[in-house]
Amino acid sequence: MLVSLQQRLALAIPVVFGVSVVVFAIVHLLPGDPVLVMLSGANATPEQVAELRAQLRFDDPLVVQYLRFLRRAVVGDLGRSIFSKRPVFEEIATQLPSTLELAGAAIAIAVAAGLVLGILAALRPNSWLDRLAMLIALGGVSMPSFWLGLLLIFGFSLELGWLPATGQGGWQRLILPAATIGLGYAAVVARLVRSSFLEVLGERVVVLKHALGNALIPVVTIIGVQLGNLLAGTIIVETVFSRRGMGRLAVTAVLDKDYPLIQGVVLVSALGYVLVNLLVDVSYSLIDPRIRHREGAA
Amino acid sequence: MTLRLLARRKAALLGAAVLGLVVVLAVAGPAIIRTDPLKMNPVLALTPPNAEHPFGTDQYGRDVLTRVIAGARLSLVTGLGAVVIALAGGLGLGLVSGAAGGTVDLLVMRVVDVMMAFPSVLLALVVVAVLGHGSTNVMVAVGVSLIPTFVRLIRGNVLVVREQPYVEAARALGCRPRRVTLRHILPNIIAPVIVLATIAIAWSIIIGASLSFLGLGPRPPIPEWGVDLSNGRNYLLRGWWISAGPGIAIMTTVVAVNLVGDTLRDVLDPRLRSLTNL
Amino acid sequence: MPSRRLLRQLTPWLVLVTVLGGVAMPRLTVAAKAGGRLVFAARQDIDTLDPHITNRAATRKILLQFLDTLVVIDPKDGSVKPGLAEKWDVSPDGKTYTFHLRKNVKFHDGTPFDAAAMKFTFDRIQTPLGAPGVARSFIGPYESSEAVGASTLRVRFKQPYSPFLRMAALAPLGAISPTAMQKLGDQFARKPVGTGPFMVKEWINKEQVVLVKNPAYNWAPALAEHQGPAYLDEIQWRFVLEAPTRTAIIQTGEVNVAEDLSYADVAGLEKNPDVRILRGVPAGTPWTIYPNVQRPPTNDLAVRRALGYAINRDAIVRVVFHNESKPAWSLLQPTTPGYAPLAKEILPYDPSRAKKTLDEAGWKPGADGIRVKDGKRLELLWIFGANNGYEEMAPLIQAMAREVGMDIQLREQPRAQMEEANRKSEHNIGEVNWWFPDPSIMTTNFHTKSLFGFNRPRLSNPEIDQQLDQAAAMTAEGPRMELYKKIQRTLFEQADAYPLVDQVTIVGVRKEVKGYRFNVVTFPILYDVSLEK
Repeated sequence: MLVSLQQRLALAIPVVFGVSVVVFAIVHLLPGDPVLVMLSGANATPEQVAELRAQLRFDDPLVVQYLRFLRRAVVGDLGRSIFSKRPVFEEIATQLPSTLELAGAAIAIAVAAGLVLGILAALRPNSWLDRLAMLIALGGVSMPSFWLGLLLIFGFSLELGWLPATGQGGWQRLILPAATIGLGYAAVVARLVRSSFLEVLGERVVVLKHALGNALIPVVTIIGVQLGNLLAGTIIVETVFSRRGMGRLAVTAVLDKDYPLIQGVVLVSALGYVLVNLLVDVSYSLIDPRIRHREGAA
Repeated sequence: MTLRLLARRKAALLGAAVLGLVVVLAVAGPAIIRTDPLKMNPVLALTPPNAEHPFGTDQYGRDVLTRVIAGARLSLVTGLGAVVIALAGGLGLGLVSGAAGGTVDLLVMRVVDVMMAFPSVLLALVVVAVLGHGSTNVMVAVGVSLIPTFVRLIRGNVLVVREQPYVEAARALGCRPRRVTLRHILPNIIAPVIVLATIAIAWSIIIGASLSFLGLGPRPPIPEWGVDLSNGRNYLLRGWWISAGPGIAIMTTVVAVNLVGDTLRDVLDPRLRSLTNL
Repeated sequence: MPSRRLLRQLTPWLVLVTVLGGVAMPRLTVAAKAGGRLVFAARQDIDTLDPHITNRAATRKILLQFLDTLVVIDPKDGSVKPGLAEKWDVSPDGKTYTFHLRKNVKFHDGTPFDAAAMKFTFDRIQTPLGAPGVARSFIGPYESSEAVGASTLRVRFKQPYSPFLRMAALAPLGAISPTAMQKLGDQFARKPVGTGPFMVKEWINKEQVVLVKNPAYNWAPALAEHQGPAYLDEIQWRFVLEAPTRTAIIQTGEVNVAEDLSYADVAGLEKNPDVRILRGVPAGTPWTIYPNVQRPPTNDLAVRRALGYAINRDAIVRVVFHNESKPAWSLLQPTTPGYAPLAKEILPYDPSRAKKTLDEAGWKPGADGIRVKDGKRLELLWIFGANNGYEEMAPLIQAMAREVGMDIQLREQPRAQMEEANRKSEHNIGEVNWWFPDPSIMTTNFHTKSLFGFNRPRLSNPEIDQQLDQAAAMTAEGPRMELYKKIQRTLFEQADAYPLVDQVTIVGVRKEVKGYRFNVVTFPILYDVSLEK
């Protein structure tokens, strides 16, 4: 895959379309009458069923439906949530900022912790320091996030009383949930930082700027992975910490079988992923000119 | 360099030993445990770890250690099964895509890109929501969500190996494409794939546990690490051992897998480190 | 040692401060009560704020804060006291209720509350709004209402309906503003308008409902401890579904009140000087499970009886409730009129009797311990609702059933899907429990006309139907309760329900919260609550 920006963009477009097709298909792949499936559990009257059927026009050929779906999606009309009856777009708009905030804080923690651990380890390779740092990092990635989250609540919130456990607002409320996600990624960052630093430290002349720049690439990679997979980290953590966000929205939408909402959430998160990947690739070429013209392995 | 390898070896040996133990427990567990993991004994509810119950009992009086041993099988099988699915899909798509090149490659990679756009946990969630509860469905869901990662890696390596002289030679000699792929390319990409597979086992166990936490795993009273970890969350104060048992089991297994994977990577070819970093 | 000059300069200020302080102090203590924001940690999420659509207790608790009802029930003696209605009469045939309404009451949108508005409220409950909401059940055999002038409302029923006075105290039957309803349409369910001491400001899905003080409030019901507007400026009603989180945040002070605390944590919380533990026994039905009498194998009386004999309530009380409650032997809570612990003699805990009953009915133990008859395993499907309260009991009962050779399969569903599955009769075991001040709740649980609603056992027994209707129509309290006891006896003999454990409400209230009260079903009344600084 060549790395020029235009080509990247060109390749991203079919992916976006592909995503929209899959999202559109979700409801149609399920067994049974899609309208009934969508309304199951919503306690709808026969009139509401008929209304939804007329509104969705599932009898039209699939292509026509897909184009209609696309046309509406482009202007932000993703339908209405079956349960709350609010527009899906509005539901997502309410929840997204909180998740972005959480992801940002998590990345900050992951990068900070990862850098510290990775550099410490690289400074004295194979020493007890190295081993310890890597072990701590490993621990972070080996614990299921919900357990880590609950332990952090009971440790720092309950026993020590240092930090609040739930809700929105204020940087203090962000620390524990962000740490739960961030520590998981800190391990990966630490490992990558360590190896990049080792590569650089082995060279004759060590320029700090160079070393950091080299270490930046894996960091940027992780930022990209984390942001792109926003939902993955936040799904569990938002539930445990009772925080507003896309993760919790996704879980409840799936459990409630609120299909318009599921479609909206999946679409937004997938698009976000594509966008972030694009940005990450661009920043790669900005950071390291070597990459700009090298053919990558993946 | 050798020093590092030796140190790693020790860690890996430890990891492998732990893994071995876990596997033995998973396979032989149900035969060697003496108490029934399903047996409730309300009188003994919430007893802390002691001589008779090394991991204590849960809120229903069930022996935690027994449940951890019994749960090893399901948790491991789910993790392994998911990786097997991901490997199969990854090898199939990756080999074909990488070896064939051209339009096929382009198409497959776009499909993979689309798949990767859906976060694995969400994908797993939707699959389980559609298919229903149970560890088999979780296994399928997690496996499917890992396929894109495998495809990416395998294809990337195929692309590199394809250009190697011995492959060129084989082609020049008139070997059929399939033979070239299987005989010449496959053995040379196996190394990073093994490394990824090992690490993926760790991921699968954790994602599987997370899905159980969300309520999508096997139904009670079947013992499984993720389910039991989730069950103990209301008792962190009064019965921390209920979660600690399965939690430590998960952590130990995952750490062991990671250690083994790391060392495999170092041993097989340190240069591959850059190829397996995703 | 401060210089004399400094002291001289400071003195006038010191004097001023002391004087001002002395003047201001008494005023400060008096004013301390008003104002403040209360954060309430609720256990369950809500499905709607529309009183006529909801079927959740979680919603009813919020409704109680922004809706007023015609009457209120005194928890001490169960007597009915004035609310929006000052006085009332009931016709001798029990079919017509006349309410004389309070004057000068306004809705949150400024429109006046009158008989026409109340008529509108009751009539709307009859319209098909989709879900079988509880309001429909509560209002019973409603026929019509008539507004006689602005302040008199006549409510007519198709049959005599003696529970209605108590029903009129329930929040789903509270007064809603016709103007707002017509203006908002669909959106009324998100921002309903009533006459209560608080108003709905916003509902952030899955997160919280924010209520603000109604400054015009001046018509508190008879049981209130003060008059005029509420003390609190704002209430943040947060949905905190995880029990350990609720325990944690009531201790850190992030919330002022946390309801439904985990029974396991109560002992530890009592030691905390910042938290008061309030307990209440609500009127209604205990934690109860119901076998589906229409679906095999629970259509077999022997199977139903055996399950009844297999349940060890003491174990449940110990393991799940940590001895905070007691075994339930009646279909009603001890604080409900009509309570009769008859199950103790009719369906006692007796595993050997359970096994014998199954043996005699032809269910023989199979290879894995589960009984088999005609090649079919004794499998029962229990569809239980997520976060509905039965999650911890279910595995325990499953184990108990296993002991006698029954295999209960547990399937968890979100509440709405569970309700639907129950209506489609897909379950063998269903669950529901109520916070309700009258034994007529048994109609909602067992009557044929409740099959579209909450009839979990899918019972359609004409004799029971007739007795339930009769009991709902009787006006004489004594004979009425006797009839309800008779109905319970029959239901136990048919093993149509298994009461498990009495409901006990446990709420954690922080020390700065004053004036917190339970109503008759232990729902929170926040009108008199103030925050001490």
